[in-house]
Amino acid sequence: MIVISWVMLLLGSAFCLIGTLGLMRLPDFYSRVHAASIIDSMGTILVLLGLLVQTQDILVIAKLILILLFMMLTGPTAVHALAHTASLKEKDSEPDSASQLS
Amino acid sequence: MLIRVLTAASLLLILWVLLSGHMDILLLGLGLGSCLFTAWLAHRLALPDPAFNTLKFSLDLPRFLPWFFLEVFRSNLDVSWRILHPKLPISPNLSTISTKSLSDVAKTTYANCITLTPGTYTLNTGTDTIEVHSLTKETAENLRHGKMKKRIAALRGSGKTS
Repeated sequence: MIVISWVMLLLGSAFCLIGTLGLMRLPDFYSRVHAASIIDSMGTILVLLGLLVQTQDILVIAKLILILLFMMLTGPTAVHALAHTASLKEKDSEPDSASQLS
Repeated sequence: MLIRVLTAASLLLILWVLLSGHMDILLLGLGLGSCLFTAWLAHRLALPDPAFNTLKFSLDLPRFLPWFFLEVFRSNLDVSWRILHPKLPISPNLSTISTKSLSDVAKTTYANCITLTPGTYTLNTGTDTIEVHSLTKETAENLRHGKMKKRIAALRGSGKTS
């Protein structure tokens, strides 16, 4: 069990690292958001699953599952809020630059 | 209406017990009070679509989630590979997808699922369309095929289609 846990924790950390790398390598804001969503999905899921198999306490298990659930609801909301605001600002300041998006 | 508030309150109470772990009368009583108050506030705040059936929808979710998590896993590997690739093989683009055939709850679920899948996220939402930013041409193409949309539309109890 401890081995499975460590494999998942390390894999999760690796995905977080890749996401961070993507955040720096990708060329523009809209692509960088994609890298952030790797950390959001695979990073958190694997780390939390890795912690989940380490415990037998039903309350701790319930809390970890709830954290996972809330992350899966708040993550997309934050991503959408960020990207949406950026696109609104861009359309506001220069009407021509909206075409640069595509 | 009363049934909706009471269902919401009892679900919140289960959450309260799971989070606190205390079973004495005082804390349970305080929990019951705040759960009822919260359920009433939520009811006042927004009337949900009366055709939306939480139970049916939740029962159908287990059929959808395994496929969805596999999809998330696959696109994670794809985006990670592209980030680590020395040449950075990406082709960011915007596409508009019609959500005409979906109910309000299904639209929200669809937009959230798109954002949760790396490589695509929802940029703007309209009444009958959503604007999606994709990292590559292939992911945009996949989205236009509408596999995910069909699976979400197949979830029962998601309410009436507008």
